[in-house]
Formats: sequence, C-alpha cells, structure tokens
Amino acid sequence: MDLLNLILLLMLAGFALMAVFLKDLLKAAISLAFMSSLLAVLLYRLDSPFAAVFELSVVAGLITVLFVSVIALTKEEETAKEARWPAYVFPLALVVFGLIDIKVMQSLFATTPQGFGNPEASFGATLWGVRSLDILGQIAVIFGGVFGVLALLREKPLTAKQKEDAIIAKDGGKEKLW
Amino acid sequence: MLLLFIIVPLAVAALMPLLARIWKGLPDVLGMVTMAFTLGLGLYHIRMVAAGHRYFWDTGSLGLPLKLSLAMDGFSLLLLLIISLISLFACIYSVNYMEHYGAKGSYYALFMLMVAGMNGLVLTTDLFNMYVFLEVAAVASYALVAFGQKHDEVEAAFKYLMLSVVATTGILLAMSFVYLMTGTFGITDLAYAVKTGMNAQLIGLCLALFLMGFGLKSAMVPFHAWLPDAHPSAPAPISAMLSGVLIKVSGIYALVRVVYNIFGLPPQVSSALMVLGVLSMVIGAVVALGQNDYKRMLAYSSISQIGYIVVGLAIGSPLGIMGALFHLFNHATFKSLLFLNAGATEYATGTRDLTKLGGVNNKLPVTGFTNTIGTFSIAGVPPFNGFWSKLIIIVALVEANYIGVAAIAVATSIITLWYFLQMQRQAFFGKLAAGLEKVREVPFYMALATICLAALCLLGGLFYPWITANLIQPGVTSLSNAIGVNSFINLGQ
Repeated sequence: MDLLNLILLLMLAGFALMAVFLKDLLKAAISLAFMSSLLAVLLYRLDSPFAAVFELSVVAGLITVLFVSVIALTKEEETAKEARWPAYVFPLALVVFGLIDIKVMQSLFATTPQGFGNPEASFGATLWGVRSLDILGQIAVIFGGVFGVLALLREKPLTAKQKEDAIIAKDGGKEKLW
Repeated sequence: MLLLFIIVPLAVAALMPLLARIWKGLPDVLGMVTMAFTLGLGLYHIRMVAAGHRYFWDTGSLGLPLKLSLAMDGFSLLLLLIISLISLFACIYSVNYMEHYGAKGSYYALFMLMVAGMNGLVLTTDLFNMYVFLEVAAVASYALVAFGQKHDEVEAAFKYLMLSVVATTGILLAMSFVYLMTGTFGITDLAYAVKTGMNAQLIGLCLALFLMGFGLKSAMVPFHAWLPDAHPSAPAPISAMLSGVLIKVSGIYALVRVVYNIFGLPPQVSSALMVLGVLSMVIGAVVALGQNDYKRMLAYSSISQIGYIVVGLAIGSPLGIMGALFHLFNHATFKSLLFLNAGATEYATGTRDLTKLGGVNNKLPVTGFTNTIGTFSIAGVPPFNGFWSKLIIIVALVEANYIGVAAIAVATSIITLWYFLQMQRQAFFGKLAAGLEKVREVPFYMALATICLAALCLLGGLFYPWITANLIQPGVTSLSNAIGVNSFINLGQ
C-alpha cells in the first residue's frame, strides 16, 4: 500500500477516535470534519473524485456547519455522567478488529478479480442510467431527515397543568372560571 | 404498476406537511386513502401471483433514460399485503390516538416514508437498492420512535439509531465484499456469480456479516438489545408497525432474500439460524414473563415470535417455509392488535404498568374483548390464526427430525399462553384498581382498528386453507425454488 495513503488512513482513524472521545462537543465536531476531509483526500487518491467531492461538501462542509450551529444554540443545563468502560473496552475491540481486518483483507486481495465496471461510462450516466432507484431512495432519505427534524423540533404540546398556568398568566384566571 | 407501491406513499409524504395546512383532518384521510390504495393494488395481484405469475417492471419499456427495475413474486406480494394491511389499521387508529401528539402532517409524512421505504425494499431486484430503502424506512422510524419528544422516547430512538448503524455497517461491508468479488448487485446475477466462483472463505464472512446485520434489524437474540426500548417508547400505532411489520421487512425479508436467493441456504447458515431462532424463542418468552410494562412485555414477545419464524425458515423444507411465512403474516396481525390494545389501555387509563391496572374489562369492553382474541391468537389457541402457523412449524420440525426443537417450540407456546393470561388477568379481570373508576372506552376509530384486526385473527384461523393456498403458497414456491434445485428465483435481472 502507498505510504501516503497509510499515513492518511492512520490520521483519519485518529480524528475519528477524537470525535468519539472528546468531551467538548465543538472539538468533537471539528475532529469529525477533519476526519471527513482526510477521507475525501483518500477517495480522490483512490480514483473516486466524485465521491471525494460529495464527502467534502456534504459531510465535511454542510454537516459540520449544522453541528456547529446546533452546538452554538445549545446551553449547558446539566452534565450527563458517562460510563467509563467504553474508554477501556473500545481500544481493545479496535485492536482485535484491526487484526481480523488485516487477516481478512490479505486473503481477500489475493483472490480479488480486477477490472469490474465500465471505466468508459461517465459518472452521470452511471448515476442516472444505472442507479436511478438509488436516487429515488436518496430523495426519500432527505425527506425523512427534513420531516424528522420538523417533527422532533416542533413545539411540545402543553400538558393540562401548563395550559392552566398559561391561562392564569394571560388573564389572571378569568377564563379558567368558565 | 409496481412503481405505484413506492411512488404514491412517497408523493403523499412529500405533500403531506403542505396539505395538512389546508384542512386539519386531511392528513388522516390521505393516510387512510393511500394505504387503502396500496392494499387494493396488492389484492389486485393475488389471483395472478397465486396462479404462478411473477411481475417484472422496468423503465426500458417507457423509453426513459432512467433505469428502474422492480419485481414481484409470491414472497414480495405477501410482504406488500402485510405492510399495506397493518399500515391501514395503524392509520385508522391514529385518527384519534395521535390527536394529543399534534403535528399530524409530519407524523403521516414520516409514516408514508416508512411505508415507501419498506415497499421499495420488498420490490427491488438489486442488493444495493435494498440497502438504500432499508435506510429510508429506518430514518423515518427513528423519528417516529422519538415522536412524543419525551426523554425516554428520544433515548430509545438514539439507542435504536446507534444499533441500527452497527447493523447497516455490517450489511454495507458484506455488500462491498460481494460487489468486489462479483462486480454486480443484481440478486439473480449474484446468485449465479456466487455459485460459479466466489471464494468460499469470503462467502462465509459475508454471510456472517449479513446474519449479524439483518439479525440486528429483526431483533434476534443476541442482537435484540434495542427492541425492548424502542418499541414500547413509540406511539402505539408506530409500535404496531415496528413490531408487526418493520422488523419482518428490514430483518426477515431482507435476510431471506440474501440467504435463500443469493446463497441458497447453506447448511451452516441453516444451523446458525436454527440456534438463533431457538434462543430468540426461549429467551424472549422467559424475559417477557417477568415484565410489568405491558408494551415492554409485547416487545419481548415479538423477539420470541420472531424466533418461531426463523426456526421455520432454518428448516428450509417447503412445510417449514410455509409455517414461517404464515406465522409472519399472523404475527403481523395479532402483534399489531396487541400493541394497539396496549395503546388503547394507556390512552384510557393513563398507565401501561400492569401492577396499576386491574378489572378494566367492564370499563373497556371492546379493548378487553379484542385483547383476549389477540392473547389466544399469539398463544396458539385454536381456532385462531396463531394456532395453525405454530402447528405447521412444529409439524415441519418433527418431519425434519428436529424433535428437541419441536418440544421447545411447544413449551415456549405454553409459556406464551402463561404470560399473556397473566397480563389479561392483571389488566382486565379481577377487582377494579383504585383510580380507574372514571375510565371510559376508547374513541371510535381506535376501537374500529382493533375490532378489524381481531376479526382478521379469527378469520385467519377459520379460513386458513384459503390464506395458505393463495397468499402463502406462492411465497413458499418462490423460496423453495431458490434453494431447491440450487436454482434461484428469476427476479428479472
């Protein structure tokens, strides 16, 4: 494997770990953006420029902006207590996974046939002409995200007690008497 | 025609938040009409599919530059009917039940997206499309689980999301390996490529990843941790959809398509499925026995019933597949009914804690009666539908010489009857619990949905020969062909 790719991959894993383990949400979001940018570079180097552009613009760009905006709008109300065991178990699991991964990949690359796909076909032709149903699914996923945000960030319906309090605050309880 | 199953709910979902502003009742009407339409579309195809016809549709005939290919065989149609049927009753129930949640436009939009995702998954002929539609249904379901916005609901949705990500990572990884080795995502092409020259070690790895991923989606033990939180936390009609339909479509259906149609049910996978099925059946039932939360008990019971389906599929014989598919259909009806009843009980009494309930049968006669039917159906009491499907699975187990597993299945059925009767006694019979004197029966639409589902449980048992011949047998033929002569279903690729 290309040494530069290996270095990029290790840095990517490092930023991914930081995104998971950093306590400060802003720093975690920025680590995630770095991780995504490195992934975009890797994708570009592996001959997938369109995937690299999507990764860079959507994940490293748009999603980071969303994360940072939401974090800026959030106030600290209470500190949640986190379990400590993932900090010990996670690195162990990562090492085990890495070892298995290397073993599997070695045998995989030894038997992988090369040259699938049509290198002449353009990105657009492949996307629209071959993977049209995926585009339909992607549209549905985007709708799902939008409606999910609309539904979950809607104003909460008032409880009976809150309604009562709101009426009292509004007109001193006259309406409640009726 | 097949594209309508996806496009119609998707278009309604896109327009729903806008249309909801025109008239408050429009989301309810549109939801019911859309689901009635897809149900009608499914029913229209029954006769031809029962006669052995398979449908294939692509955009080539329309001369469009896009490429969309969809196919429907007996197994797909069965799932499409289950999705539409349960969705229709969930929509009817939602008319009253979702009133106090507000934002019905967003609710129905997400609901329709979930349905479009499931229909897409069932109709596609391409493995990667399956993944995309799996995500469509999943994204909508995460938001629906958290729809009530309470802390527990958001936490359950987050847990569900995290474990689903693990599942889809496994599935995606397996798909990448498969593509790397074969250069195709078409299910039929894959079946051919796997048979003719894929590395055996890699097939094992891919199958393990698929099993883990779809096992998580269908909440088989030991991949079940998310379900007992997610299903009780969701609003009742969504719990009914998740337990009754979603785990079957995104878990069982997808797993069967991959394991049967692509890999031809290798004996090692059959054994693994048998072990997972038995574990799910027993552990789900035993844990359900100790639950005081009505919906949580139902969630564990879903794990147990999924075990029956998996065991039937693991046998691989036509009788086993028939039992599994019939139980899949039946479980959708009685589990949806029971979740809707749990929601109705909570709606009327304000609690689903069985220790705080008691003697509400006189106050909630419709809910109590339909709940009894649901109880008898799930426990496998004749003549309700659950009896026949469990019987077929047990006979198939005996026929295939799995005597021990058959005995476990019978014992689990007795445990199921035990905990459901215990629930029935605690919640509905005996002395009326304090504070429940003013409880009144649930509103019309909620009662109507539960009555219809209860009728289905009874009719499914009384008319089981018609159901097995027209709805189940075409699916059995498709899957038997997939593994039988080491050939595979012609999904049109």
